[in-house]
Amino acid sequence: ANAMAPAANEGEVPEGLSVLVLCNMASVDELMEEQTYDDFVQDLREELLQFGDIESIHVPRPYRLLPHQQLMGDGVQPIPPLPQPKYIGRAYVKFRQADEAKRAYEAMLGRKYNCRSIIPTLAAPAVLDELAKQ
Amino acid sequence: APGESEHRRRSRWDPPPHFVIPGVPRYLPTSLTPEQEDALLLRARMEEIQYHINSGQLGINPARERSPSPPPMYDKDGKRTNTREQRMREKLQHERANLISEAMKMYPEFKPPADARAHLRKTM
Repeated sequence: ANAMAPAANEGEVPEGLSVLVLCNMASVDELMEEQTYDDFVQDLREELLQFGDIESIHVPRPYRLLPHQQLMGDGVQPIPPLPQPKYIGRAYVKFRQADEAKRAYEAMLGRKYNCRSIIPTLAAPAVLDELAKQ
Repeated sequence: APGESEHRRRSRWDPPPHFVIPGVPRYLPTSLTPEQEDALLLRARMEEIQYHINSGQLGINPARERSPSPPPMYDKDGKRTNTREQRMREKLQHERANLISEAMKMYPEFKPPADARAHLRKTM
């Protein structure tokens, strides 16, 4: 079996999941830049409000570079990537109701953001506790 | 205020018509292990970058470009070598090389695409 191509499960999305998870949304670089990050969160809120009441939005951010590393990165030589927390590039949007999250999920299928294909899924609210531990 | 109007945010959501890039999954199945999730997303981004490079649609939106362009550079024939397209292409190729080296670490049996090997030697 090819480890790079896990078999897609064609099953239905389980019920009762109120967290919309959007994967492949942003690069480490984009998440590090304050303005881009703020714009990203605002874009998410504006687009997803139409599907229901958003309780919270979580966008995990990469570790910061030290100032001397930032200087090195100024087009001169590539910076070795820092070890990053899991879930980088994903956005977690907690809706009040699971059916709102599901409608948003269906609307996100096939959509793109900043030329990146959104790969959505749904999760139970417990995933936010996991995030808080990162 | 001029500072505010200068940064009038433009949404980065895609305008219709929406389309799916071949090889990129439409959703993340809920049944995957974290390792399978990582593998699927890594592969999806590789396919997506390859699509952008091959199609020449590099995702350049002039309205969004905030950082100033570097001074133009030219080759010996006077042809410019660092246009926005060329820089974007390089950026994508660099990201692709990083993804490939990540995949090689995660999956010892992963074979980098032949065209990527030269680039890998340069960047690693």
